[in-house]
Amino acid sequence: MTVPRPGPPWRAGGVALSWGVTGLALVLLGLLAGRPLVVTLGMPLVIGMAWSWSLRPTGVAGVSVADSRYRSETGRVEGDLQIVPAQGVATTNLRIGSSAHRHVDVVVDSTMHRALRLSVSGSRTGRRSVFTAAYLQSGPDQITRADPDSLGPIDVTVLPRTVPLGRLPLPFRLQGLTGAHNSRRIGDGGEFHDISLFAPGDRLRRIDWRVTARRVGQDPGSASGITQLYVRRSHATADAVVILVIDSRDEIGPDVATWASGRPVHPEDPTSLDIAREAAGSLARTYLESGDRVGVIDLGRASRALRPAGGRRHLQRVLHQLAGANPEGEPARRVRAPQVPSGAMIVVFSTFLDDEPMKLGEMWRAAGHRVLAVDVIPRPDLDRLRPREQLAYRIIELERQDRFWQLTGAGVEVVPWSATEGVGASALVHGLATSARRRDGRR
Amino acid sequence: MTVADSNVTRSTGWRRVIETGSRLIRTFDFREPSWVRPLPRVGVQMGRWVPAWVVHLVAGAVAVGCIAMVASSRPQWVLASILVVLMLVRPVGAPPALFALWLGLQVAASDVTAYSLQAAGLVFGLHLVAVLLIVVADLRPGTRIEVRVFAGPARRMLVIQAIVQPVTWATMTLASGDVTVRWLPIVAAFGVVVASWILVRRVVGTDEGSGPAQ
Repeated sequence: MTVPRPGPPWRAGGVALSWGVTGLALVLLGLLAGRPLVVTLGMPLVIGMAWSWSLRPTGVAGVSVADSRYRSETGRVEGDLQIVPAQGVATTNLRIGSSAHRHVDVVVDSTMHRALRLSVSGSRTGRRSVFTAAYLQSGPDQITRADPDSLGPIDVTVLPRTVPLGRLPLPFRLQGLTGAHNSRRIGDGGEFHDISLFAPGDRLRRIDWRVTARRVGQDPGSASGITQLYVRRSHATADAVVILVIDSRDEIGPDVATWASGRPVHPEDPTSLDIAREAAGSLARTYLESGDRVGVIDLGRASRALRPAGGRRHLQRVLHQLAGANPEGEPARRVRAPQVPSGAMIVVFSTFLDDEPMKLGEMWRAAGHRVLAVDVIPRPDLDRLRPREQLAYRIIELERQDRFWQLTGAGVEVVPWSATEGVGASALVHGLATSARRRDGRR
Repeated sequence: MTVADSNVTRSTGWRRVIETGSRLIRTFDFREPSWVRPLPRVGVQMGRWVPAWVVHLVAGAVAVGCIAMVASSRPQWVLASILVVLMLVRPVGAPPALFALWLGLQVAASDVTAYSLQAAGLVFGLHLVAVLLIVVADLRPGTRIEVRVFAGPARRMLVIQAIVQPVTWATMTLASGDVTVRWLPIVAAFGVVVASWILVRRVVGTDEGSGPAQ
C-alpha cells in the first residue's frame, strides 16, 4: 500500500510573477520602440523577480503558541507565538484570533527566531479556549507562498481570584476533634467553660487549687480539710466542615439581552459563574486558612464532588474544581439533595433563576444544616433594554425575589455578591458577619 | 359657539396617530442594542509596524509622482489616475500591469532621450511602486506590517537600482550619440555591472545565512 505524500507546500506567488512579466513586457516594448529608458523601466522588475526566485524557500517555518497562561501582573491571558525560521522564508502573514475577540492581521519578519506576545482580556475565569492563528508563509517578495495553515485554539485554565474575607459564620454544630474554633463539647481547649468537681478521667493539671481551697469549710464534711477537688473545664476545639455548592448549570452576564438569545457575553463582563467562582474561592481560602475543611459540589455534574479536606494544597484543588465548573448541556434533574457530611455548613452559589437550588437549600436546611445562599447574578445593565426585555427582566427578578423570601422563611440566610471590586466581598462579609453574630448570640 | 382646540394631543384623531406611532416605535425599537458594543481585539506585541493602508497611500503617492513626470494633458491625467486608483484597490492582477505599460508607452512617446533626474526618478519610482504593492498585495487595509518586513525588499531594491541606474545612464548616453569617446560609456557600464554583481553576491551570501542556526 502506498501512502500518499503531501505535495510541495510552496506555490508560485502570482503578484511577484505578474510584476516580473510586466517588466519583461516593458523590456520588449523598449527594444521594439528603440527606447532604452523603457527597457530600463522594466529591468528592475525582471531582475527583482529573478533574484527573489533564486532565494525562494526550501523549508517551512515552524509556528506554535507556547506558555499560555493567566498572568496576574497584567490581568490578562498571555501566550508567546513563536516562529522558528526556515531557509528562504521571509515573511509570515498571521491572522490571530480568540473566542469573543476581534482578530488581528499582522505581517511579521520571519528571517530569525521570533516570539510575539499575544494577550486577551483576563476578566473571565474557568477553562478558556484562546489564541487561534491562521498563517501563510511567503518567500522574498511573495515570489512563492506556502499553503495556509492554522493552529489552536489553546486551552487555558484561569483560576478564580480570591479575596481575603473577615469573620465568617460557622456551622451550627462543630464536629471535628481539633481545630481553631470552640465547640460546645467539654475538653482540652482554650475558652473557660465552668468549674466542676473532680471526676475520674480528669487530668491533675486541670485541678483549680484556689477554688478547691476556697471551698474548704463550705462543703459538707470538709471542716477538717480538703475532701473535694475542683477542676477548671474548657470548651474543646473543633474544625468546621463547609460544603461549597456551585450551580454551574447556567452562566449569564450583566447584559440581560444575552440571557436567552444565545449571543455570547462580552468578554470583559464577568458572568455569574465568574462571580460564583470568585466568591466560592474567597470563602474556601478564608475557611482553609483558619483550619477548617472545605468540599465542593457542582450542581451541573452529579459525579463531580470534591470531598472536604483541609490544608493549603487543598485550596488549589478547590480552585481547580471551581475553574472546571462550566455549563455542559442539559443537566440531569436531581431527585434528592447531594449527600453532605453531618453538621456541615452549606453555601450555595447560584443565580436562583429556577427552583432547583432553592429546593436543595430547603432540603439541606430541613436536615439541620446551616445553609447560606449567595446570589451571584451580575449587576444587570438595563439601560439599553427594549421594553419587552425590561418587562421580561422584571418578571424574572420578581420570581427570584419570591425564591429568596421562601428561602429566608425556611431559615436559609441569603447574601448577595457583586462583581464590583471590593463591593462583593464587603457586602458578603457584612451579611455573613451579621449572621455569625446572630448565631453567636443564640448560642 | 365652537372653540378650536389648539392642543393637537387633545384631539381624538391626533391622539390615535400619536399612540400608533409610539406603539410602532416601541415595537421596532431602533436603539442600539447592547451587544453592538465592540469586542476587544487580541493584543499582539510585535516590533514597530505600519498599517497596510499607509503603504497603499505611499505607493499611490509615488505612482502619482511617476505620472507627473510623463503626463502632459488632462485626459492622460484622468486615465492614469483611474489606473492608480484601480491599482491601489486591487494590487493583484491587471491594474498594476496596465499602469506600468501605460507608463512605458508614455515614456516611449515622450521626448526624453538623455539621462536626467526625470529618467532616474521614473526607473526608481516604478520599481518602488512594485516593491510596495508586492508587500501589501492580498492584505486588508488594517493589517499591521512590521517595519522589518521592508528591510529585505529595500536592500534588494537598492542593489538593483545600483545596477540599473548606471545601465540607464550608459544606454541612454550611447543611444543619444552625445559622446566623443564611444567606448567610454560601454566600459563604464560594464564596470558598474561587474561591481554591482559582486555586491549582489555579497548580499545574497548574507541572506543565505539566515536560519535556525543563527
